[in-house]
Amino acid sequence: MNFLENLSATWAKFVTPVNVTFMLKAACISVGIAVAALFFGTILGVLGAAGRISRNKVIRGLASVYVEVIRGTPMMLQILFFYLGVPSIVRAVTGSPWNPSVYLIGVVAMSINSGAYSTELIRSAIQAVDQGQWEASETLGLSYGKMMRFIILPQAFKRIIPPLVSEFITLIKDSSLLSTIGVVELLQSAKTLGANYYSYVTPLLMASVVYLTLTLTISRFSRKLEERMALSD
Amino acid sequence: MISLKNVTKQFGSLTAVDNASLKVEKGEIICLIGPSGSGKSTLLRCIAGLERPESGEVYIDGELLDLGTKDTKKLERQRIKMGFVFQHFNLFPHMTVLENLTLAPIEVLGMDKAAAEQRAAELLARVGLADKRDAYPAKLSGGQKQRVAIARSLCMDPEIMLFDEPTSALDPEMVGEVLDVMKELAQAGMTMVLVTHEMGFAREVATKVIFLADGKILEENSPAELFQNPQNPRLQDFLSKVL
Ligand SMILES: Nc1ncnc2c1ncn2[C@@H]1O[C@H](COP(=O)(O)OP(=O)(O)OP(=O)(O)O)[C@@H](O)[C@H]1O
Ligand SMILES: [Mg+2]
Repeated sequence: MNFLENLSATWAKFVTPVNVTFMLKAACISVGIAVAALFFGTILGVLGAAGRISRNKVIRGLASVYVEVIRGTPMMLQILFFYLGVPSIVRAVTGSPWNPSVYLIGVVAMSINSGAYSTELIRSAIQAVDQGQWEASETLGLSYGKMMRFIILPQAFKRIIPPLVSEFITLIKDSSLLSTIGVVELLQSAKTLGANYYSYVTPLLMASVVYLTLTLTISRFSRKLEERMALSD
Repeated sequence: MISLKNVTKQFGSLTAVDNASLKVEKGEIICLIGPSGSGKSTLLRCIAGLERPESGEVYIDGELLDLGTKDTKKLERQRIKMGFVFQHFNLFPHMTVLENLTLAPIEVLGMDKAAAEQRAAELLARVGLADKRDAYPAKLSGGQKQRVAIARSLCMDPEIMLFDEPTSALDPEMVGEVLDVMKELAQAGMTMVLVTHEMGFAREVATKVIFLADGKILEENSPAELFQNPQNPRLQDFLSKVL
């Protein structure tokens, strides 16, 4: 009883309009960064996938190096590289200091990271389209670009959507890594509240509730979408 | 119209087509027969430009078919002289029958949509599927799919039609409807090269039958001669098994 009273007392202490607004704003930052990273990552992914299946050896090689380097190193390291490494490289090259916002750094680092994963999932979706579809397009005289546009990509698209939604969920969760470079996203807001009250359990639980609401909503939406697409088959 | 000069196609250490030479004249109907794995499909795919031979040349109307060329326009122009019908149809599943038929005429030949649809409707009627224009391929039977695939090739107005075992993936009761469409095409004077296990069809419709084994052309003759009077022991053996 005592414990429960205690809990509801701390809960009441934390769940004030000011604190909740603070946390929800931070949640918007998390989602915003994830949306931006998904958007730019998908563009990088389309380019990367085109590179991975290119007939040009050099382009193919570059695309593979990109994918392997990004997927083979921790995301935390990549974020720190853009936060600490890139500005000093720019300073060394140009001679003048460069201090981009941590939000920009966050979006860039996460887009580049996401792009590598998207490259692989887009490439595999394209290559999973039946060989016969490529051959039929070829014998009908469709150029490579038209074949991609009318035949291959529309069929690959269905396979791209579900993993892209999981990628989005991953990005929302991984954007919490940006708290270490000072981005005030959802996890950072929980840490800040915790520091204000010298108590971390409740704010971390609050952040968990927000994360779960986001991720569960998105995966529910994704299941609905998959059902609808299955119907149109 | 088409000629192959000493075409050899290898897959790793396996020689699928071994030094094959062949001429196809306008109006001819050539059937390729032979045991499984003898290289019939590979030979046909070399003609269509779907496989790139290691050595030898394929000429379409006297012009070399060069798959490595930078001149992709020329390659496309050569490719659309030939229609190809696949064993597994390869219809575009995300498009209706009508869209399957009009895509290439619109995008490749530059026809306007109304004209392409008009022509598609005529060809669908010709293969007996006028009522299926708005259906998706998944809703069609195997025989109907193959007839749509034939109509799709015809929409490009090819000079020659290539068929790779067009009836092998069909339930027996649907083989006839597809063969009928092919017979009708033959009677209309279409030049055709086809790989088939339908010996009755070869005997009845072909102007020439070619027997392959181990990637080599071992015998070629009129159907009457080839079936009645086979010379090569491999062919005699093959015919004794299939007839
Ligand atoms: N893409 C490929 N990669 C490797 N080997 C292949 C490939 N395509 C065909 N082959 C091989 O080449 C040989 C000839 O094959 P092909 O398909 O031309 O024979 P086929 O006469 O059409 O046989 P079937 O009657 O079974 O269709 C076979 O041994 C086959 O396994
Ligand atoms: Mg075959």
